[in-house]
Amino acid sequence: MASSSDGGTPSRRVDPAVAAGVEAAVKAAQAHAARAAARLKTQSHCWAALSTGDTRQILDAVRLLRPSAFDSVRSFIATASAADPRVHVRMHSLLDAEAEAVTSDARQFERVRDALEKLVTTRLYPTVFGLGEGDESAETEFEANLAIARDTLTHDRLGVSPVFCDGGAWTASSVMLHRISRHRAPADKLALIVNACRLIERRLHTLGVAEKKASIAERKRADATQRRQARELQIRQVREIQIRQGRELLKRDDLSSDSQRPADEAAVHSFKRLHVAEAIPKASLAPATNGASDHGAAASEEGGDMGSEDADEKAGSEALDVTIGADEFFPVLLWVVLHCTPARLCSELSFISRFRHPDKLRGVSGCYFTHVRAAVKFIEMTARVSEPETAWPSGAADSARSMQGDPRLPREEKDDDDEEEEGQLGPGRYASAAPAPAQPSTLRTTAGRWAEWLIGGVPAIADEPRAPSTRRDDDDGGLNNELRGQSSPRMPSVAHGHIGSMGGMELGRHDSLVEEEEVSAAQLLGFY
Amino acid sequence: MASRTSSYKVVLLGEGRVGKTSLVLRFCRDTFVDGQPPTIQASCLERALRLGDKTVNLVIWDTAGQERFHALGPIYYRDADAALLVYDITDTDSFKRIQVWVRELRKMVGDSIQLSIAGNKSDLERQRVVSRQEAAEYADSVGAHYAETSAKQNRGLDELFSSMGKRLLASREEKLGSPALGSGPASTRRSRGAAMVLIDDEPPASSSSSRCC
Repeated sequence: MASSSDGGTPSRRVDPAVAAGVEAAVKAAQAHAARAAARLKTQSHCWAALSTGDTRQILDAVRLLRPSAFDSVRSFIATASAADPRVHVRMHSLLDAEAEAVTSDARQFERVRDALEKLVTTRLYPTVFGLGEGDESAETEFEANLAIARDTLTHDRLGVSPVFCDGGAWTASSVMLHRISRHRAPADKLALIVNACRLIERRLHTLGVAEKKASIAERKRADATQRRQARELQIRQVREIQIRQGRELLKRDDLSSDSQRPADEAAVHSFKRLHVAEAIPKASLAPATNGASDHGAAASEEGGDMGSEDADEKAGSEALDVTIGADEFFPVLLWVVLHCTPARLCSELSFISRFRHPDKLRGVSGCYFTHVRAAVKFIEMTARVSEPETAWPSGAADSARSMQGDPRLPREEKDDDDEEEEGQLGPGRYASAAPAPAQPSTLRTTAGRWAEWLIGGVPAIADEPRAPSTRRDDDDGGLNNELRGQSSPRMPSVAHGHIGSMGGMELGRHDSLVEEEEVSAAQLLGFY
Repeated sequence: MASRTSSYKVVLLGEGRVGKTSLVLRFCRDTFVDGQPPTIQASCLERALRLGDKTVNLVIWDTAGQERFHALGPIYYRDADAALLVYDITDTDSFKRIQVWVRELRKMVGDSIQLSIAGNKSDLERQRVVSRQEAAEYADSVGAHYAETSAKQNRGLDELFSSMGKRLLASREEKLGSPALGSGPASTRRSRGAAMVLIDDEPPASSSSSRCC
């Protein structure tokens, strides 16, 4: 026992060391496993992030998967200048290459490219916006053209329904268009344009349906009156016939004895009753007169009624199928652009067309974008054609007025306020483009961190509090407030009324797109 | 990755009232799952078309057909892959207008654009003024595909668009060189690059039009 205990003691004495060694080994193994798991987790996290639509998450993932991407992006931003007319071409090919290096999946590729595009364009914005070839001259030219075109292109010449113009149906679209200048990334600007266009289309559709409904109701009413008149006529005719028959019978009655013509008894009786009932409204007379014939008439009439109603309903559902194509949409868009032109529209369009990826401008959003470009082009053309003949003074006066930042058209209060908005935004746009002034603190702090991150200081994938969610709320709130004109001082009460009439559903549905885009835009603004 | 999606830009041209919007709307709406709200946005439509093992995505750009907006055409069809020209078989003027557009397209865009001509309202056979033969001969002479359609009765649409899709695929394969076909996303990407260069390489046209519009 002793020996065993002796033998045991040293072994026990050794034990702690062994145990320590083992423990250390186990710890090391565990740490290794944890690191491996963490790495694995991060990797899979990265890949998952690439599949989200969140710009920030994607950028975090890209940073981990391919740190060198940010070096090249940084050096590109440092060297880019507005003087280079092909700066956007270089940017797109760089981003294509970087995104391709990160992922081979076509979908992820697009997302990564878009995220990088958002990052770079947000950074480049002050350097290149409005400074492209001919941007400045185009802007002043457009201002002048606008004034001329406004005189020439009236809504009846364009074929825009006055209901649309005066009813403020375009207010929400104009708000969207004015918001373009608050965003830096071309993708966000484009999203706003698309939303504005869709709102116009939606509104046109609603108006079209309402108009059709009204005309159908009108037709139905007309039909009903016609039917009623026909029925009355029929009743009158039946009565006249009966009266005539009755008179004849009475004459015969006078000539011959009562007993000779018992069969006519009923007719005489009914005729007498008819005379008594003369004062009773005609319609109620009908059933009392001639049972058989009138019943038949009523039945046939009823049948006719049902038939026509069926047809009406059918025609109604078909007729309510209003299609709004470019034929209807474009003139209205033109009118909207003409009357609520956002600040520096030409520069905005040129910026988007250069810095949004060309592939994206070939899709549906590109189509709407092209409609807006076409509208601007048409305004230019109209001005060029009508310049010599329209009285110059009015054009000059108008352009002078718009230069001063005065309301361009005092047709509605809304317009004035839009101008105000424009004025507020215009000069300070470069300096402070934070979308909502209410939460500068959150934006600032994130700005710091993001700036550090871009320069390469802090590893940003660490669990930073998810600021986007709070900002999303704020931003969302801002948008909603703005659109409903409730708490934003910029929105006039008139617009509130108008937008209220827009119907919440359609607004809500289209806002979602912008909202998402805006969140990422706010994130990217943190780089300043 | 047996199949891949490629996106094509199709410009829709035609006078007002020839029913071009209904035509495209009918074509795009028919594929939609029941219960989905009907499309209202008809000025820009998208539809994926399945051709064999490939999917062709057509993005159809509607244009305003009114006479006064005619001059805006180039902005829309600048880098289009295909143009669909619609006329009304009961209206000679609309057919003449198509011919003007074809000349313009050939002059401005060249032969790279695939043309399809659709004689719409074929349900109004009695009021027909443009004969099928005349239109078909004309289409042949300009290298366009011709089909008679009825948006109202949903006739001839599938044939029209699938033929357009096939010709688009064929022309892109020709352009890219067919060996790139099998390699999945890489080839898509190459096509992307090609499209990009194509746009950048025409500064004379773009700089004048992109200046202010």
